[in-house]
Amino acid sequence: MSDFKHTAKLNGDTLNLVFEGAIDEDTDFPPVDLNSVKKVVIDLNGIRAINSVGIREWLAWIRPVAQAATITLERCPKSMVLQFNMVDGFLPPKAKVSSFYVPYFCEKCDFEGSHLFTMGKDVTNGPNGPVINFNAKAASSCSDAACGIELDVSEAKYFQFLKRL
Amino acid sequence: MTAARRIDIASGVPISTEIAKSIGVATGLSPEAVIRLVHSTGLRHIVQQDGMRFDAECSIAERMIEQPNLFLRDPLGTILGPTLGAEQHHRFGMVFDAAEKKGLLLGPFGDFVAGLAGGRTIWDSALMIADEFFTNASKNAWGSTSGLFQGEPVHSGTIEFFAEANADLLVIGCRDTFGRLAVQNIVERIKACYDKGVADSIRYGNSGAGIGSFMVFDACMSYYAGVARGQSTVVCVAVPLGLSRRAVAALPKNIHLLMHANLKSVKDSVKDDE
Repeated sequence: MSDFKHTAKLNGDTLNLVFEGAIDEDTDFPPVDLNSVKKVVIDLNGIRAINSVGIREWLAWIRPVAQAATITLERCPKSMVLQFNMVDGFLPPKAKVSSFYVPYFCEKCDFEGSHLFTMGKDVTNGPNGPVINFNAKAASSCSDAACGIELDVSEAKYFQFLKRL
Repeated sequence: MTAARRIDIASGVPISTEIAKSIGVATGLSPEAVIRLVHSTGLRHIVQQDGMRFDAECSIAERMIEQPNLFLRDPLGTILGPTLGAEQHHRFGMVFDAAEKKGLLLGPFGDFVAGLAGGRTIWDSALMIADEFFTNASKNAWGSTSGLFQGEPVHSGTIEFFAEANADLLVIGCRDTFGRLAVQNIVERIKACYDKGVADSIRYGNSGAGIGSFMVFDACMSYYAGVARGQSTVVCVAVPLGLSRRAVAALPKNIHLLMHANLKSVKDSVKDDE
């Protein structure tokens, strides 16, 4: 039995979904009335993990939804961002990402965390593509003066999906 | 005992019947190049000189070639070696009926990894690897005719999940009693993800998605697999501890594959290994 849970709230033609737990072979995604829903907003903050079968289930669910409605993904955890970059169509064409998490880490003091990047604030559009406006050191609460905290991702890989938005 | 030999990849891989006993020594190969090399040459061991544990990985390859049964019997001992002096190893192990649910594993294993020094940055990767290992082993219980975990299991078997960490390294492994894994298929599936992309490599239908091996290989530093047909499958990975995710992702990868091994009794295999 999957620990995947969802809540759904319909507001006019906008369907707000909140997903949490793991996306895997036992996940039952909520049905979406593709005739009446025009916008789908999905809060992914509670997604803990996704496995290989979960990737397939997500693709099977989101493809028809993305053809009929505008999709916005909010508070995307790292596990989902990795799939945006690795699996073509996982982030459907024309879908929007309004915010996503980026991990940071200091090998020296073992301080670790993640920051919610908001589009338009921490990421802006520049002439040569997306620009990251974030200072990990300033955002961290580590009190060690020698802390060498930095974003803990390969930026060229992790932010790749931004070029498609 | 079969003697292993090292081949310098930069000098070319000779076409030889001895290829199964050879260790390809490389430098700076991308993960994709590692898989392509295994696929095109038949090499089963590739070890990278600029990797984190070059000497140890060469020794593992030698042990797997020269004492294949030792890996199937004692994969953790083969990979990590004996505990020396004051070195502290942390161990985790659970045994399941193959039809049990993986939720029984993932909670305790997540706690184990979270408790390791330097384990926080690899926590989600370790859980993903555990999930894929367990799912792959468990689906054998349902066979290929019914859907993935649909209805009642049709085969009985056991899954042994284990992990061991020293100060620098976490080894995660899974052994099942089915012995149905075709090791060459692992290479084919990972290669397909590099050839066609992950999305186009996904299998639709009732079976596994066919991309789990790629995800595991992508997340680890070293990948080890061995099968005794119809008896046992052992798959393990090594993941470094205490490094950033960025550093882990940049590490050169090693691979060790053991094909068509015959699992013998402990007594016989010790005799063979001598």
